[in-house]
Amino acid sequence: MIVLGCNDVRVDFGTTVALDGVSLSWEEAGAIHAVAGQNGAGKTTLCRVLAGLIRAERGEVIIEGTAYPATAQGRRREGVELVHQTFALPPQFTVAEALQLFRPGTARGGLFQRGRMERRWADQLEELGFTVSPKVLIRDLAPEQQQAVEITRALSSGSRVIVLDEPTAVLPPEAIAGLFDRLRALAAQGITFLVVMHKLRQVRELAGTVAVLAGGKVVLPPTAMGTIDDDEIARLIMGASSEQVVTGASAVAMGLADAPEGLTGATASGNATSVESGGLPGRDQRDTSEAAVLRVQDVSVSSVEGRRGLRSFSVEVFPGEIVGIAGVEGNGQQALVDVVVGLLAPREGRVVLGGADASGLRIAARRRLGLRYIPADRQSRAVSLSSSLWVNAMAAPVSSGYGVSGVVRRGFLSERRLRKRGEERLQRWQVRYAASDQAMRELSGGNLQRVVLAREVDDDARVIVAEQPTQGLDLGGTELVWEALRRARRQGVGVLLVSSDLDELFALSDRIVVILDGERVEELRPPYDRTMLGHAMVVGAAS
Amino acid sequence: MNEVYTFVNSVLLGTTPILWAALGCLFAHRAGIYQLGLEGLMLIGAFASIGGAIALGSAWTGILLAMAVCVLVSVVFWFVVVILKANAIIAGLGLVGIGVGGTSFLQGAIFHTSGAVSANAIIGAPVSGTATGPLSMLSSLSLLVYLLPVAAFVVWVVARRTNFGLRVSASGQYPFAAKAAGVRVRLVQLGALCITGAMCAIGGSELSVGSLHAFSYDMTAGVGYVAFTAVLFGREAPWGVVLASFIFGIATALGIFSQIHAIFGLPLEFIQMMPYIVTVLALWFAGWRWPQAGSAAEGAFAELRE
Amino acid sequence: MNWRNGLGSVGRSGVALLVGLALAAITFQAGGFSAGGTASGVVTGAITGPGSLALTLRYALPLAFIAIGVVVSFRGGFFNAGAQGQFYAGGIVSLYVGLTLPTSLGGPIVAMLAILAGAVAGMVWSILPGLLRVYFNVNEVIGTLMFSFIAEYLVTYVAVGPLKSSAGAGQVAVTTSVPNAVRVTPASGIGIGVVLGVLLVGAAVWWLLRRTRFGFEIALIGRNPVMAEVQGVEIRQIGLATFAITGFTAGLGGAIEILGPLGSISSGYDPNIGLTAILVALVGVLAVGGVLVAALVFGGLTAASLYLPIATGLPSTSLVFLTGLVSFVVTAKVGWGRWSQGLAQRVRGGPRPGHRGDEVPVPSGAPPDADERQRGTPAASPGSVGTPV
Repeated sequence: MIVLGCNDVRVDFGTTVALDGVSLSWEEAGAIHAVAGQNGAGKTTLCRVLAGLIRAERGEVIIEGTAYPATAQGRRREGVELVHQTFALPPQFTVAEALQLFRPGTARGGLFQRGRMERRWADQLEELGFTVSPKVLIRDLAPEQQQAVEITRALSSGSRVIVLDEPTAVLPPEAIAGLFDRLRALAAQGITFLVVMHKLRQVRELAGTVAVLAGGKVVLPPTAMGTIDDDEIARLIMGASSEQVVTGASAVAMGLADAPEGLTGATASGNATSVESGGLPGRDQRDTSEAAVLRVQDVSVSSVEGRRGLRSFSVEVFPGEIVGIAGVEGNGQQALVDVVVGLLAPREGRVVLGGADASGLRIAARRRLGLRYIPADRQSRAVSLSSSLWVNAMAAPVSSGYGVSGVVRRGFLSERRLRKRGEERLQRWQVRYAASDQAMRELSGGNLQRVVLAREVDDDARVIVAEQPTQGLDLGGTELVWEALRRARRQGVGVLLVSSDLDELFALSDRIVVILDGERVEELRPPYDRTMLGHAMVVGAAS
Repeated sequence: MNEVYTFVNSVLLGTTPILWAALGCLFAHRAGIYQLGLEGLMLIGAFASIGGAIALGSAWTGILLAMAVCVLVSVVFWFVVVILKANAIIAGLGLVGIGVGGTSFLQGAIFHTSGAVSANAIIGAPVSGTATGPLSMLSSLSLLVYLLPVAAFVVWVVARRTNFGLRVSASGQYPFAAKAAGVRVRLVQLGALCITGAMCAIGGSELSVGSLHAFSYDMTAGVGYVAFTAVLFGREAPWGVVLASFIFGIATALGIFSQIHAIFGLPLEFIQMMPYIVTVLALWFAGWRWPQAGSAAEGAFAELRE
Repeated sequence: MNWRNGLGSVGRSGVALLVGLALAAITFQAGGFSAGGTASGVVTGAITGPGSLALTLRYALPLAFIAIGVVVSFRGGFFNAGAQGQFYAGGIVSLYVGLTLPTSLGGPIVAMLAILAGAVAGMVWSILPGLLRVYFNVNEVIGTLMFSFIAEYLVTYVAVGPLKSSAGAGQVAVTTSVPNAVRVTPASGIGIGVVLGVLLVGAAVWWLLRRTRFGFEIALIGRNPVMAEVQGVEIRQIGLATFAITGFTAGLGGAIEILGPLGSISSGYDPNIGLTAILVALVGVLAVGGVLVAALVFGGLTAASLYLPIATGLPSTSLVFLTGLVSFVVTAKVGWGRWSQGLAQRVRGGPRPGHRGDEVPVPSGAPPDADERQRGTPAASPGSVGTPV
């Protein structure tokens, strides 16, 4: 009997296809099954379809032998429960109240007795082996305890099949073993788990079978872990994905065609990189790397919900060099970018910009030192949608005070001249617009990113932090961004490129630093090896 | 001793309208909507209950009418704020204006007077005419005062011990969770606002048919804002709101008291503004101690708005 | 200025005004007062009647002062709702200074000092909740309202307390009147200096918003605080400055009202000016020019509300009803598609501290951490209004 499965499921989000004819089935009940895949592979969408939270364009879902149409309006499906990546528990509720919210039970007239309700949930929690008091507030719980409450919530529906979306992503490393033990114990009682994870080591440790999704397609049907090795899985996760996701096959062709330039770039800056003599930079060598335009030194940042921290992370960027940061999303990239840009004060360590310690500097001061930032979250961080184009193009120069001499004097500005200055920037980057005072929201994605480039890639730039700079862009847009970063490199700018698009990293980076769990685990140099990188991203440093 | 009795009497008198409105407003706040229009709702309630009492001859039917009218107004408020996504604060302030101006206009249109409109049908006072002795604490207080403990208990039960109460809190605090639990957030908010409206109507009625036996222009004189503050000060918890309302009621009574006797030589107005100062300090303390409190709920609101 | 957005905002606020007027007219008609008669009464009371225009101007002036300052806060996404309290603070302090300083210094000089002191008092009254807002994340609506209530009692305090007039024998306690030499206008409330003052403050704010980096940054914060911070805007400083400006002009309004037409403060003085000024700012689409027009409209309505009881028997409080109706609907987001995404988007936020406009995603909350603090975007910010700068 198929305990959980789906048949030919297709889900579209607008023009993007999240799941494309996915058919999967798991037959062994009381076992732990894994689905692996890169970010954007469709894992979370699959979870939601299985739990009936979203509607598919076509296909069906199979639960304990019964097939249901997956196209039914998003009503929660009985029999399968999903534990979300972000917990859906009200922070100021007690554990018992939160559980009661989800499972009102048969309270007469909706009325309950607190003591009885707490006992009911205390019993449930205990039965499942969780040591969480029902009287504690959700917000006072550790992540693993919140997860325990979520799992209790899911199981209390009587479901025998539980889908967990990235259950380890929010947990501190020391809590992961506990979760695994608990899941195994519950599986032994006949509960079937489908676990979505991207860390191969954890998949291997926990799951009996693994399936791999890439680009919304199944590239590996559920396969017993014993019959497949890590390299093969890593190759499937990494390899297939980059051909279909994000930039499309032709971008890859372009990326490959451009690869030699990446190599020559590396050679050109060889004098600088040779200082490190390969591998991780040693502590004693730091003083010799005076020329670096950006140095992140032993930076530590605490993890918070929704953002992985950093552990003694170091990276240097030299003039005329593009350093790629590779890693599965959510491994500390966000914290790294925020620390460099100045949005987040690190707990330990420092950030040096062009020789000056920038750790205590505000964003404006860092920008005056030549720091530029192309954010991944364009609509919130990069642009103001309701402001005009020229305001967007000139926002940072005016606010931080650079590149506006003759236009802003002692805080006074000439709107006309400022607008003209903005238009010059827009025109240099060939932004297509009717009038420069039209609202930003009227621009298309690629055009919008041009405005960001017009602001961030200017003559005064010394370091550019580019975060997923081509995400969601078409071929032309991608090419433009790549060319912009390459040109910046030729002019001696250092670029820190954070990307989950491996081809982008390969095409642009002189070096690639791999980040995993907030730690620097590997540094790779051309010629890049996809398997090696994939292995480092999901498993860690090569032994 | 008699002064103490008189003082307790005026505390109860001052607290009652505040507490009725605040207990109602509790639900709106818990559901995540700042209902700043309490003042308007109370005035509408006060006016409708007098009108109903005069027209129908019974104060109780007057109160029922007032509740019906205020619930209706609350539905409109819900529509404007939740469905049309108007700013709740501005709309709430507008509701105050509608209450103040609208009742004044109707007073002229229906009763042809700008003075007081008095009714013969009133809410009974179980104890009256006792000028001395412990019983004088309760002298001339309407039944609505006696109902308060019941109301507070019921509010506590509904807010803290029913599934509806949990849904209201979840809708306000963390709509993402509420939606994940299958709660229809907007409908829950409608329910909460209607409860607020109904209880404000009772609070307003206490002022008109309950204690003063008359309606006059802007007779709430800020009680609605005080009730709103009491909910904030009481941190949206039923007993906290009761306590806060009593503090405000005591401040009101002290105001009356200090017209006769000086208290620490403090001017009356400083005693009256004390609750607001305390509220500011409490908010400051909360913001200083728990700087990020509520930011999770914020994120959820963004999702709710999708 | 983007004409489509501009038109949208103006159209929307016009519609809100019309909806309010229509609902009021229907109510009046139902209450037995002819809507036509009321309308002509409004026109007579505000424009055509003898002395009507002067009265309209007299009530428009303080509204304009306050609303111009409110524009600054609202543009920055800070919902300063305490204009009434700042107005009181300005009035009280200017009265005190006007009464204490010897007139031998020269009337105009005392008046200037009193006005300045009043404006600074309004500023302080606004900065206090502003500090709570930017440093302690206390919702500015609540903070400013609380300070308004406190100021209300201070008004009564000064009227019955230290500045009480011994001459007054009436029911309401009144403070001593400032000497005539210090008065900035006659009792009519119209003086060339005050009119010039409004124009000057209006021009200054316009210039500040359009011709300075500060104004540029206010607009950035108001539209997208996250983006603004990434661009290098010091959100806290700018936020505090907007509070200061709003308080300053509201204090100015209070000072001029007290040193002008009123001359003294009576206990329980409540001109209901705070809400009306917010409304003027919103109906004036948060633009200085629009605010001046809207102030005249609401000044006219105030003037008319004094005339209506005589002309039609309608109570003067009908105006409160009308402004209530307009406030009720002015921020509603009626589905006209994307044609006008101006006003409603602006301050629709609401219930919880920490609401933002639609383009602003909310960063996930970080728990308090002594060592590592998320540098601060103030949490709450209404979205953006009107036109791109």
